Amino acid sequence: MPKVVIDGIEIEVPPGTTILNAAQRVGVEIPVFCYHPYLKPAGICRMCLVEVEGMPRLLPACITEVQDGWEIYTNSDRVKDAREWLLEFVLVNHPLECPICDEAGECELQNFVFKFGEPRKRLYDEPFKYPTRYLGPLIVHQMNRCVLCRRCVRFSDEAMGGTDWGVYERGYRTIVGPYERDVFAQKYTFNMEALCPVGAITSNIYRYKTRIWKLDFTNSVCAHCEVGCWLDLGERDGQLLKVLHRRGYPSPWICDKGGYGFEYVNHSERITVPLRREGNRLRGVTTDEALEFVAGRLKGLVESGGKVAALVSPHLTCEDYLLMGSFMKEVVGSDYLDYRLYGGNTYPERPAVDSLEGVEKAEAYLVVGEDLSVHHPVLALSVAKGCKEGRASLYLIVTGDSFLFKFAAEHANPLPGKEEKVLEALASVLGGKDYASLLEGTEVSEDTLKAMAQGLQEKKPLIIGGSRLTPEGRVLLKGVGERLGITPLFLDWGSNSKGAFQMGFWSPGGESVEDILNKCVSGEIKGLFVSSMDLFRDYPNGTLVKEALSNLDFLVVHDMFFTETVAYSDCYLPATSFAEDGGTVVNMFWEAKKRNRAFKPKDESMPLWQVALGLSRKWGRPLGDFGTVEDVTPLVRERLSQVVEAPSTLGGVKAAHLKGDIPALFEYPFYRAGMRTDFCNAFVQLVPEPYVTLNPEYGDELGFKNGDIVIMEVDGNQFRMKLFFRDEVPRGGAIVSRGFSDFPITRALKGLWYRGIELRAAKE
Amino acid sequence: MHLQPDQHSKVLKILQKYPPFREKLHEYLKIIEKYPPSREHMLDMLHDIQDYEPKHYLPREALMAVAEYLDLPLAEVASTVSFYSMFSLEPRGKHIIRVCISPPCQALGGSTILVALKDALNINVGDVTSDGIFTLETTSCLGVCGVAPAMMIDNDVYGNLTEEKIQRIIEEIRRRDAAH
Repeated sequence: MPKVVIDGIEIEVPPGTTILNAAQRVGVEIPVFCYHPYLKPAGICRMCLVEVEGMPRLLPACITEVQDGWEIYTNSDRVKDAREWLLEFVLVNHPLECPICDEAGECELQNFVFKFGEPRKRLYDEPFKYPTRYLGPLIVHQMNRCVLCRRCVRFSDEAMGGTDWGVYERGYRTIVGPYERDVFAQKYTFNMEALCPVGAITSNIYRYKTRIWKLDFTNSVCAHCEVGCWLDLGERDGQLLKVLHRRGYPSPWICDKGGYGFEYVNHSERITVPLRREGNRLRGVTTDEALEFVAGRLKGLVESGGKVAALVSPHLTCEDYLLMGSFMKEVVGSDYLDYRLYGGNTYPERPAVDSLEGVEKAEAYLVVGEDLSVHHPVLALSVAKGCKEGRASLYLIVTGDSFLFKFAAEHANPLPGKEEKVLEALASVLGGKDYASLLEGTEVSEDTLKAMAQGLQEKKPLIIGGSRLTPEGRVLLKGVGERLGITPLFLDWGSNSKGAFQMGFWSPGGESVEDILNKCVSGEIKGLFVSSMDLFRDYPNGTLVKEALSNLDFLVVHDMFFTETVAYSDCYLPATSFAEDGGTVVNMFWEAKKRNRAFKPKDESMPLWQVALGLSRKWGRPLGDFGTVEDVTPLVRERLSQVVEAPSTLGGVKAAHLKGDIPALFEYPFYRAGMRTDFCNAFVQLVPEPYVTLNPEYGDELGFKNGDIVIMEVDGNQFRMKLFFRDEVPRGGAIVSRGFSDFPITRALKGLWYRGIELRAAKE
Repeated sequence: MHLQPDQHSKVLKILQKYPPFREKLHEYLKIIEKYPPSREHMLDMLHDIQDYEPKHYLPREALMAVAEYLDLPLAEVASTVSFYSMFSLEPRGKHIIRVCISPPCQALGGSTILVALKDALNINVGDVTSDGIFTLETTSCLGVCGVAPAMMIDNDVYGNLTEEKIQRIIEEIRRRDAAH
């Protein structure tokens, strides 16, 4: 082991350690621009030059590996001089607009000049001036401020496998940015902004809002998906203004939903007072009055023999599920409660791996039934990492994957609704049975499947079952896993499905959301409590939702916005956002994490657990004496350690309705997936309206052009929208976007996210 | 030359992907398909395409062809092209004049030569003459300081330049072109 002396401190480090890492170990600061712990070292910026005894020139610390006996000085006159010169050179073309720059306060250039620079400027020349580029609603790029560290380019290259972002020209004329796009939003754009050491890439959402030192940061967990990234929520005056990802856990990277998808918290359309229906109007009332009214009506319904059900979003905390569950089961005496409002009839299962590092270690991956980059974006980056480095091979059985297909060794891209047929065929190949007939009408070739089976047998894969899988699909995938000796990792929709399941927030009889809605239609259920979800936007059967809600005697909606579901309600209770209340959430690896409260709830907003508590008090059978969410947490912790058995749901899913010209998959676009993304202004600007996508070849065949306006017809209902060509769509199928609260696209669906559609050109 | 579908499935796939550029892409893919699709051949491919183009430049379709063939983002090919000064993204003239602006040539009147060329061709550095025959560029040392001041037209080096000599060379090239 080489022994080195850094600024007089002796340290022994493993061979291959760079000077910079050795210095970090002894706590000596070396300034860096281009170095980043999670990117490959590049040695571009020369900020980290240090002196080594006996070497004629200064050495870059970030790429030089230490040798035994080296005496390193990071603070000698030569080094200081080099830093001063370098900073002076960087500042020659720097606009010095710190007073209006959003990065000021967290800018590395600012810090370094302050610490290591010399307050002088000797070259007075006209600096280079580049125009500011507003690259869509997420980021702004200002080349004038760039220090050419290329962290953004390296991120795009190393983590994302290359995007439309590069460096052009060379020397002092170098320009960084997108080559052909005017709007840059690539699912992981936030990381590029976060990596930028200066204000060259800044957030458009945060632009000119506040200064970083005026923000109060609270640690929390992202509420969009069950990867559950740690976030630091920056609050000022009861507004959530900035999100940071300082802990770099569970992954060093996060997605744009985590980084930018918080605007709904401060949305101006938020309704923060309870409303009560009076004829055709909803009138503002006090919380007390509203709770009294709801409890009284529910009690009345139950006493007259009617049933009451609760449908709650899978994005809330365990505390919410626990108390609401207790209220429904013990006080109201209802057997109908569910959190699976995205549709589907599966319950969470224990996974085979326990962390993202575990995922990254795998030698091969089999992903079935989900576009990971949409619903679990950070997991997709972890899967891509090994494949990009050539350590692992990736096998996909996914319709219309939009990110991972670039890394796939074999990509079976079946027609919508045929993923499980292909999975069945794969199981047959592995079992040595005949499979050719299973592949009929899936658009997947036998060669692909054979290669896939061979690859899976050679290396031990990690099997990931996506949220689109039905209970039958999960059984098939478990069968494949058994044959290979692996337990699959099953994913669910929502950020806390696992927690909701563990808290027992499901019907003991195993009824699905569809069953509950059918019971509303038949009149068995007379009262319904909906929390934090617009059923019309997310439940894949708009017609059934409409019928069920109009048939109810009493509907309570606990939400933040006036959604279509609220329009049917008899009482509206204002909900808090994830930033306004703490709680426990369970991530995809069954790890319990604590969300903290960043600021106090706006006006009368209440988290669900408080609503349940308030209702139980008004009912006359209080659930207990809980003051804050921390009082409920011990109960949650206790429940989390228990083993919960899920009821079998096999045979509950009816076949998809695929009649019609083209089988279509209804899938969320990335910027529309997750919680309340249709109230995030930036995301709404990125995906303003629904669209249909077709494979270019197939589109050509049908006589359409990219960008045409088409009419999609389902069951005689006509939807007018735009048509785009995308390579990832399987030939012969279509992918239709969903997740729009102001566009009734779920009316086209019948409980599953597959549907046969007809397309024709719209007459102008 | 026609592509055999079974041999060139990759090329055909690229052609299907961009129907509007099909013809142009087809031409370029015919040039680059002799190289295996790996990154180290990118410069060779780009040079071949640039030499093939009558206007000595790389149109957008050329970048697209190379990017698709190598499975790289277009931005990456563009950054390679823009890094090297021998590639051009703008159409250039039939002949490219590169005048040395390094110190030895400067000391012996290189700047006068440049001015003379600008006058003779009636263009600025980086521009193309209106007849599309000449592009005027500057270059670093050509390695012929013994005959400074020097310039290069296409692949031929001209040394010991004077204003009259430049006039003669230009006229001669024009005459030669007209004869062809």
